[in-house]
Amino acid sequence: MNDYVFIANNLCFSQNGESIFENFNISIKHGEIVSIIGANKCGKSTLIKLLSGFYPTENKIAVSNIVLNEKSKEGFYKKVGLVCNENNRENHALVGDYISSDAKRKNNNFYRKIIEMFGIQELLKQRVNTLGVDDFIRVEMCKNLVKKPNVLFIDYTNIHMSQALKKQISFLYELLAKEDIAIVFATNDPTDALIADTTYVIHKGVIALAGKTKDVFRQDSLLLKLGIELPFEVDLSLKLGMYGLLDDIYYDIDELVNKLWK
Amino acid sequence: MEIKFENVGYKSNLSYASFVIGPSITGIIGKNKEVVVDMILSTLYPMVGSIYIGNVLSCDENKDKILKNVGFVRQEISKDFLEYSVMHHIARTLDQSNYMNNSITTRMKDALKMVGLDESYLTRKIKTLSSGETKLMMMATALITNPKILILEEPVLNLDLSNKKKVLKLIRLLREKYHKTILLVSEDSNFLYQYTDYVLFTDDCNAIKLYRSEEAFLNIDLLLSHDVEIPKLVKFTYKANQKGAKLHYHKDIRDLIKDIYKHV
Repeated sequence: MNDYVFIANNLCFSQNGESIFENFNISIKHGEIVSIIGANKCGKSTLIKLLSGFYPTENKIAVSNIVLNEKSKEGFYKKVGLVCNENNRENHALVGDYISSDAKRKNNNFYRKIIEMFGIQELLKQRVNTLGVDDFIRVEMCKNLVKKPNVLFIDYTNIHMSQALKKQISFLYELLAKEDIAIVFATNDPTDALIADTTYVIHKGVIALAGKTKDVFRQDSLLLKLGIELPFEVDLSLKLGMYGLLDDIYYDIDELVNKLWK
Repeated sequence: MEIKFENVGYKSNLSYASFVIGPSITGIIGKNKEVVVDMILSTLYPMVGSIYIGNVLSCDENKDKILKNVGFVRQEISKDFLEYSVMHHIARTLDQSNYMNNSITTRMKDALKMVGLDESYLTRKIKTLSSGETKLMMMATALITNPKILILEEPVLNLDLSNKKKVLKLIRLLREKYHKTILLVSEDSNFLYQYTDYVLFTDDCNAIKLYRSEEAFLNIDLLLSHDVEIPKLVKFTYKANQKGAKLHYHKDIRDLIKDIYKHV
């Protein structure tokens, strides 16, 4: 596997007799931040669940050299985290117990690191069902991270993070990458993809585009055809590029202004 | 139909707000936006002051009368309703608002038609609909009583480009052809800058005031004092002008590009 911490080869998946994915391939490097974007109902949520081993599959999915099958299931799930819905919000447990005392025991330093990173020390003695949405999502992420997975899958489309929390968490992704935790998130908002190293664009069950995020966004006419709205800074950079006023895509408004008016 | 707040106060957060929202597209942004919405829906009453919806005082006695004229579309459909068919969902909502009409199915079809969905949607289960279709269906449900006021919570959040355009087209139609008073409740200042005539800032620190969107969203100090994010189109133009660019403020990126081309 070398550089790759996660590989899925020739993935095929059907639901209700309908083929959703066919010969789908994806490989993720250690500590990579990956975004999955696409029009509504193109299969992003299904893909996130599929890759995280949520659905039984005869396909080859491997994380850290563990290929997913009946025997290896437990080991596989230890290496993979999944935050894809808010179904556990009604849970009565104390946050501390919900997150897991097992992980705390086994790897205390890392456990404390994660709790501190997400700022949930004060929530540990509260019950999960008393938490607001943002706090619940923080807790859910911690629950998945304290076991030190190699990949964390997140489905933004099914959880209701505030914009403020989204921003905070995107800074944390860089720190997690340093701990060899790759992040893969699916989102309906292409602006979220700007923080990702790599972006996959899904359309009708196939990868329409994939590569370094900036390169993907350079394909603006194709993205528009696929129903994807360009983030403001990207749109502006590309359009001004066509007029010969800019040479690259800039993500930051200040940077954009400085390049145009020196 | 007008929404009038007269010296309305609620706890220490909202101090003596007075404003009138007329037929227009008005945005609501800020920490306490849900409180303001609840007061218009008469699920919450102010501690001080009065609220008039179409000249009817908001109070327990008048609640049903008021709600006949206010439609509310939530951000997301409740998980409890996913197994319902569209027809069942609409019928259930009608029962709750005590709306009586014999030709309900005809009205349902008309409402769906208005949002661009054909009558085949009536028998579909809600869980089979895409996010865009669900949003439009929810709008149809709110429109079936032909309310003069429509409150939409994050109407385009999580929608892809084509669905966003459909919802925006519908909002414009409701405003321009049917002269409804439309309230867009959102965290997204970019969205409200581009699509509203007026805006209410409902943060903790200041009294709630109604502003013309064109003035409010271009006033950097005002936005900062209300803790509202500066719309990107505005931020770019402001920063460029600080460098001596002399650009005008635009709501459409294409107009901005033309302007930049002249000034670089």
